[in-house]
Amino acid sequence: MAGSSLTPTPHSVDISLTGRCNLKCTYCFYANEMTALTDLPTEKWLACFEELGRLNVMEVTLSGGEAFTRPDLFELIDGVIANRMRYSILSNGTLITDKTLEQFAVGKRRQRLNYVQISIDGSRAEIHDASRPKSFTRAVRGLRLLKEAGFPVTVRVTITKHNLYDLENIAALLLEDIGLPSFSTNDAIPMGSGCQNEADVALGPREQYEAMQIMGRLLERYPGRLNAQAGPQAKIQMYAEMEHARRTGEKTTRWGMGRLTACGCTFSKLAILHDGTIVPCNMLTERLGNITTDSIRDIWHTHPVLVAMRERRFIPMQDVLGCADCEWAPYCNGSCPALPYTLYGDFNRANPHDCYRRFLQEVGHGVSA
Amino acid sequence: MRYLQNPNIVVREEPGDSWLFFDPDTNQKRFSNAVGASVWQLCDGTRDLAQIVEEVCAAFDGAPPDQVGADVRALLQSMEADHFIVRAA
Repeated sequence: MAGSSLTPTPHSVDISLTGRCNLKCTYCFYANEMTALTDLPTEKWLACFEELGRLNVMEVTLSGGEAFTRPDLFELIDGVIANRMRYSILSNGTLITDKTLEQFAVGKRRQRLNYVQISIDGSRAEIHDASRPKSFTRAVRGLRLLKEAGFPVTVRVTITKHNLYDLENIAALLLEDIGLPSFSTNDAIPMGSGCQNEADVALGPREQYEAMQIMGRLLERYPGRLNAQAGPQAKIQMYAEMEHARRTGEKTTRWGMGRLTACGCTFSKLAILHDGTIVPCNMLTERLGNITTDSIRDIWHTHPVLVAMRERRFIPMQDVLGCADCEWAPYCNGSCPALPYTLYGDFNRANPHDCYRRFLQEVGHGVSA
Repeated sequence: MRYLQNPNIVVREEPGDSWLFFDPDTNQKRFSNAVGASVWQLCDGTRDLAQIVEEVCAAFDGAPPDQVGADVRALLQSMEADHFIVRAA
C-alpha cells in the first residue's frame, strides 16, 4: 500500500436499506427511478454485513427511503453489531416513538450508535411541510424524544426556497428550544424529485447568496454550532478561499485547487442501494455490481469506474469540458461529481450548481463584496 | 503474565505502512507502525513480555533488546489501558 492513498477496504459504507418511505419530499434525491428497485430481504443484508465485517469496515450509515419503515431494522442493526461495526441512521424522524427508544436499549444497539440524523426543514409546520409534507409535528416529536433520552442526535436542514427566510427561526428552534449542540445544512439540488421540482425548491444564485449572508449571521450568533459539507455555508467558505488564492497566490491545502479533486469519498467509502446494487455513492448511482453476486473487495480494488473516479484528481480543471476558458479554473476543484453525472452522464465535469463563475455572472459580485 | 487480543478490536492495514486499531464499542481508534502490529499479533494468550520482546527482536533484525523491551512494555501498558488487549487467564 506504500505510496497509495487508497485504503485496502472501505472505512465506511452508506447503505440504503429500503426504497420505501412514508413521506414524499419534494427534493428527495432517492426518488423516481429508485422506487422501481426491490428491497433486499433480511438474510441478504445479514450476509452483506458479514462480508463487511470480514473486510474490517468500521461503520455503516443506514438510510432509505425511510430506514424505520423496515420491520426488521433492529435485526439488521444487530447484524451490524455482530460484525464489529458501528452505525448511524438517517431518518425523517416521524416513525420514532417511545417504543423505538426501547428497542435501542437491547444489547449493544445504543452503545454502537454513532448518531441519528433527523431532517428538519422549518421552524413550523407550514414551512417544513412545504417540502416534507404533513410531517413537522411527528418529526419534531421524534427529535425531542431522542434528545430528551440522551441519544446522539443531530439534524440536517436542507435549504430551499421555502425555508430560506426561516433559517434564523430554525436555528433558534434547534439550538435554543430543543437544545441541540449543533446542526448541519445543505441545499436542494436537481436530483431525484428535485429534478421535477427544481423551480419550486432549489435556490438560484441570488438566493444562494442570500442564504450565505444568513448563514454568516447565524455563525456569528452560534459559533461552532453550524456545520456544512455542501450548500451555501460550505460554498461561501469555498468561494472565499478561491478569491483569496487568486488574490494572494496562496493556495489553501484544504483541497487540491486546479484539478478535479472533489470528492475524495471513493478512497474510503462505498454505497449500496436497497436492491443490493453497489455504487460509488448513493447520489452517484453508477452500477458497480450487486452484493448478492459480486465481491465487494474486488469491486473496491479493480472496478474501472472506481479507478476512473480516483484518477479524476489528476485532471486539470482547464481540461474539463466547459472550464477551459474559466479564469477560476486554477482555483477550482470541480465540486461534487454526483450532479454532473446525473445531468450529463459524466462525472469528469464540474458541478454547475457550485460553479463560481456562474455565481459571479448571475449575482454580479463575489462573496467578499 | 500473558497477553491476549481483545476479540472485538478491528485491525486494518492502512496506506503508508500503518495499521489502524479500532474498538467498535468505544469508537476509539489508534494508529500503529509495523512493530506495533507485530506486537499485537503476538498477543495470542501464549506469550509473556519477555517472549514478545524476543520475537520482535528476531523479526526486526538488529533492534537493541533493551530498547525494544522498554518500547514493547510501554506499548502493552498503553494498549491494555485502552482495552485493546487483556491479560490472559
